[in-house]
Amino acid sequence: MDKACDIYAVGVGGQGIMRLSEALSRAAVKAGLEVRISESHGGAQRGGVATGHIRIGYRAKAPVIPARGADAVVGMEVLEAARSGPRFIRPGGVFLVNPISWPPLGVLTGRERLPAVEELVSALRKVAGRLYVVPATEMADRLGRRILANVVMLGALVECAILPFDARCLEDALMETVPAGTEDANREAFAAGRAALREAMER
Amino acid sequence: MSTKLRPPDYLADSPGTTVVMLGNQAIARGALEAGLHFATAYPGTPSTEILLSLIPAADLYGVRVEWAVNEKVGFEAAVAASLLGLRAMVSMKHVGVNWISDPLLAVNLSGIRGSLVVVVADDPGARSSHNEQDTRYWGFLAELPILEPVDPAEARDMVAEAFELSERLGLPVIVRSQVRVSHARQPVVLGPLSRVEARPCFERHERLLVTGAGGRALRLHAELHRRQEELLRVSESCRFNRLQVPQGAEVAVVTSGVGYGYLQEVLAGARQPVRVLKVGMPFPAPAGTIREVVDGVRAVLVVEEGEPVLELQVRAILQQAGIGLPVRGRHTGHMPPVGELDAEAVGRALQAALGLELDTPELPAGEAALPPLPRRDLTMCAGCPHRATFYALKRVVERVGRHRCIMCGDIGCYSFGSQPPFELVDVKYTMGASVGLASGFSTAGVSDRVFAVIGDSTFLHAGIAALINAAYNGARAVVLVVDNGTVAMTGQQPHPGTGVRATGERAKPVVLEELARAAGAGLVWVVDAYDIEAVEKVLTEAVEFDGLAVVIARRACALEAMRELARQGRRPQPYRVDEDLCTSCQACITELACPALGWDGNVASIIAAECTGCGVCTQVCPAGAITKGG
Ligand SMILES: Cc1ncc(C[n+]2csc(CCOP(=O)(O)OP(=O)(O)O)c2C)c(N)n1
Ligand code: SF4
Ligand code: SF4
Repeated sequence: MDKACDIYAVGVGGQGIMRLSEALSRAAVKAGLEVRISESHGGAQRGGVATGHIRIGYRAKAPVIPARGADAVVGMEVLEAARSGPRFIRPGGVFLVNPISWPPLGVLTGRERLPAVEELVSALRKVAGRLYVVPATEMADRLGRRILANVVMLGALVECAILPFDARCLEDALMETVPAGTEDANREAFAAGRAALREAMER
Repeated sequence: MSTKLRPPDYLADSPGTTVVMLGNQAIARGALEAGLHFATAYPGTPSTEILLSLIPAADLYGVRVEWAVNEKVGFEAAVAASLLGLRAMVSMKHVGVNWISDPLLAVNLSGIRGSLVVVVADDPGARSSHNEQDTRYWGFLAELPILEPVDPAEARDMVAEAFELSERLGLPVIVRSQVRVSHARQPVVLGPLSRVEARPCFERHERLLVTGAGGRALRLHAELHRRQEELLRVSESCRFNRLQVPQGAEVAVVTSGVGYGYLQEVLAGARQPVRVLKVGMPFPAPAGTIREVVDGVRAVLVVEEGEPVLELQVRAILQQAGIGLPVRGRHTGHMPPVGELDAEAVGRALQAALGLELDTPELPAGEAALPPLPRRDLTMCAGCPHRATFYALKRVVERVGRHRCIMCGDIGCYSFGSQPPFELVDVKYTMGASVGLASGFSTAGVSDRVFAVIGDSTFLHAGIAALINAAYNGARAVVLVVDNGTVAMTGQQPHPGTGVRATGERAKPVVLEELARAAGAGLVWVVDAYDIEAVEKVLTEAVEFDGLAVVIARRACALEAMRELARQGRRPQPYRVDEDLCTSCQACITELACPALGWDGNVASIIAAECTGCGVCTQVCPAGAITKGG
């Protein structure tokens, strides 16, 4: 397995991009790999764009992923995934997308139109080698905890077989980052994400 | 050492452990490994987490940790700590240096005792700032050493080194971080914490009277000039310099900071060998090493993020040495003129400036046939008290006539009042400028109504002197202080008006209305920001008042209020739209635009999970369709 892997995660503030990055970085350290992350989260206000450049392995010298250099894009919100995902996804890379959109203010106030989720997803299919729709928020809602959508995505990501460590390693790393008392819910969300991706691959 | 609480892992006293940490945590760690005694800061993205990360060190290791009222005062407090022989650090964002520049350009002459490290986080690309400004330029003016880390791990080492250097030289040392260092995460192997007991003791010295008689300022200035030789030697032997001289290289690159990261990545795919000098101290640049690295090459490129600070020096160094080599970089158009660097820009520069061939040619952007995407601008949160205030302000301003009002804005969450649906900002510069501008607009003789809108922390940072100026000079203006009790924009830090210190203990809160009265405002009102009718009434009176009126619209930041509710184990009570009563007029959406409000094409709705229960929209709905309860 190539020991280098660049993952670009994008979503809206509050969707847990930071926790997702943290779990991946801890897993990389466990696996004895270099890692660096560059994050940005808009501002203190809610609802800004949040991004994470997660760079694992020897390639990682610069803080951000080069254009068309990401082995995977994790889109927690479809509008932001569509906005910046194509810049980073490498030809043949894996694109995971959570099919929800968080309407910006211009849409709420009727000044701008929100494209349909399906329209965006099908446009994205053309830039990615593989694209999987992972209904992470919907699944997390079913588990009763919307904030675990990021953990569902993490489970899906590990099933793509591009990470230079295994699911066990990532799950252990994840567990180090979760608040006490939420371990079971996190494990459940992680497993659900893995199952969802396996299913999506069979389809 | 106290065992009161378990330290966060980046502060743990467990040398040898590897911890993935944020750049700003690494900076805090470096300071502790160097025996930090005193830390202060004024918040500002991307520097805020430096001081935040040090707060637990107060209890754990006895470090004095303070939020300052502004950068200048923070700097002065840190200078004082160093004059007591302590190890002091002050941190800020790049524009904070503009505020400290006055004392900085005196302390460079007097020198310090103990150590004084000034950490500045730049914001190339200006994502969270009103400008991009390269802190390294201050090196020329202040003639002080500047260290520039490439990543969090080096930031830890450099900050620790900066304390030693400062103590050795008796001068302040500046560390230039930037957003891709401060907000990056990387594994760092913890070093031992150094605990040198603080023994604060003041020593008088005539140097501390920089402005004393007898030409002392000139003497000290001349001395600082002479000491540049010594700084150069430090730069020359800086342990953060990296020199690569591969066989057969015909070209050279001089670089520093994050530029080195991009360069390494791009050079991994270069077909020809390249000499590289990465400098740890971009000011003063190590002249001897630079002459060495360019010896015998045919061209040199300077890769740096920000302004051509190294480039200028490289050109001067080569010219002085009579080396007629082309130096390429920003001035020759090979590096991007503004914004952040990236691997593509560095790759293009290597090809164009040095004629290198790269294995990994730039790929065209992904071709996605996307429909137009709506913009996602930041906006005020659901339930934000500033939104309610702007709603009331807009009604008052429109009654006066929008074109007859000059609206001076300021820096904070209320800056979003410039956006629709309010558009109540005509001019906005930097911290506190709203009140200074209002003072001048009025006394310079305009007949329009003049307004300043300023936040509580900004008011204390830089607004109060301007208010005194306005009162003293007889300005007629309305100063609206939007007081949410916190420095919200940077993540809700306390300030002197909050009455809580960085480390949590209580302080006597500064009462803004008393301050405004003492400053000489003729009319001072305090009003609940959520009470639209009351805010409107008071503002109307303020507009009619023939003098300086201060209106303080008070209400806690909604995010802070939600957090407080959660701490008490309570939840907000959301409002709802009664579909039968909603007349589809959309007033709530087009005039208030709370992000918790939605429109399904027929009637308004409220997203219960987003609503904070502030009740402001009920006051806006003309049909009485919005009521409490879900
Ligand atoms: C000189 C300077 N220091 C720091 C900052 C970062 N900053 C932006 S807004 C702000 C203050 C916001 O506080 P306040 O005025 O109370 O408004 P709020 O965001 O709470 O509405 C700060 C510190 C800055 N822009 N300029
Ligand atoms: S953080 Fe607080 S002050 Fe800032 S927009 Fe949100 S609610 Fe308003
Ligand atoms: S009560 Fe109305 S204005 Fe306040 S947060 Fe809820 S929807 Fe927004």
